[in-house]
Amino acid sequence: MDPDEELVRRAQRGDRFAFERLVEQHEQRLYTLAARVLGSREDAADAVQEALVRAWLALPKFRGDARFSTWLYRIVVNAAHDMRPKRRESPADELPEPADPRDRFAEKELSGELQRALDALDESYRIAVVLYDVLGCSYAEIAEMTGVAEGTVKSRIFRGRSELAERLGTAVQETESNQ
Amino acid sequence: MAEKHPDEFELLSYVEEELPTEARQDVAEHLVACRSCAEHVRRLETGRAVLRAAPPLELSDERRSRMLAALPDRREPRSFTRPLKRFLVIAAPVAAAAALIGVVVVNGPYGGGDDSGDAGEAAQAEEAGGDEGGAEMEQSTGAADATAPLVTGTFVRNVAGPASAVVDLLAAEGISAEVNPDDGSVTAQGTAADVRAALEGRPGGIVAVYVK
Repeated sequence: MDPDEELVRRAQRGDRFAFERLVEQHEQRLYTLAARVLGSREDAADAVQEALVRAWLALPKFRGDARFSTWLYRIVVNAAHDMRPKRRESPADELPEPADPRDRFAEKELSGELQRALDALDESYRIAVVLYDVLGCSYAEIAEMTGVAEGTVKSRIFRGRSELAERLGTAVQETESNQ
Repeated sequence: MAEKHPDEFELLSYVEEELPTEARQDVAEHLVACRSCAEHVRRLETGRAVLRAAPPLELSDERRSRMLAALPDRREPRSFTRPLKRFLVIAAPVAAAAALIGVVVVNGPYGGGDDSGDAGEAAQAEEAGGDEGGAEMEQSTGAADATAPLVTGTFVRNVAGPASAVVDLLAAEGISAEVNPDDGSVTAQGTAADVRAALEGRPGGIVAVYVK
């Protein structure tokens, strides 16, 4: 049984309080997913906000065929995907910017070797490894979210991890030797 | 086994410890003799270790509050009777009035009641020619919820965020504006026409802009 079922049912009837509880339970994972896929905290917050609006509006149509969390992840993945072309058109947006006190959430761009290596991956590989290794989703759940066969998911995880390790090779070895 | 390399599915399954004992043993024996496959396994394990060590990321409390406050009111599931009746009885005059004077009072962040998102006490009207992602607007009846509306003013349009960028854009056009801390919307000082013109090139989004 989906642990979110009761809250989902209430939220479907328009109970915003129930939807807030659902958001509280999942937001860290939604935000982590968006941030790792997009490589930017600011873009990730925008993607999650867009995803929550989409989820709230679409909730009455949610039939519970998938777990609620899986359904939410899929919406975040789609919202993040929709933001990518916009970012490519304005590369200046990808540069770190000083935090604006009016946007305290802006903080700083995700940095470090891991994120740079993730950013360099094909988007489909990046989504697969973040869902599998960072969020702990199953092959079947990822297949459902991304609309591909489980074999394709495994292949993407294989290639995503391999490329990541290759790109990180030097940095990882340096980190380990310093520990 | 040393002659036939395991495929990528087998290698991934080996690393994930999903293989049956016998198959796992076969792959392990192969890896001793095959540097190429051993290197694949090393990369899979390294990639996994790095990804699983990545810390979870947190939204600020303020941003979370703004996200929740920015959720639009949701229409009830469509039926042939109730929405139509509401539209005819309440929303149509509101929409007509809004069109006439160009002013709509927007209900702010929800007021706390369990069913506050139901909009059962509110009339709804679509923004004429609705912007992309435009929220439905509604006029509070006032009596039902003493804590709402929190935001009043003349709604101009919804634009892409972040809100601070909208403020900066308006400032560049000589229009003073500020972010409303309650809901992340933007209120500008000036006429709706001037603000609309200043925002002409801004794509639609989730930041509501008002003038007062």
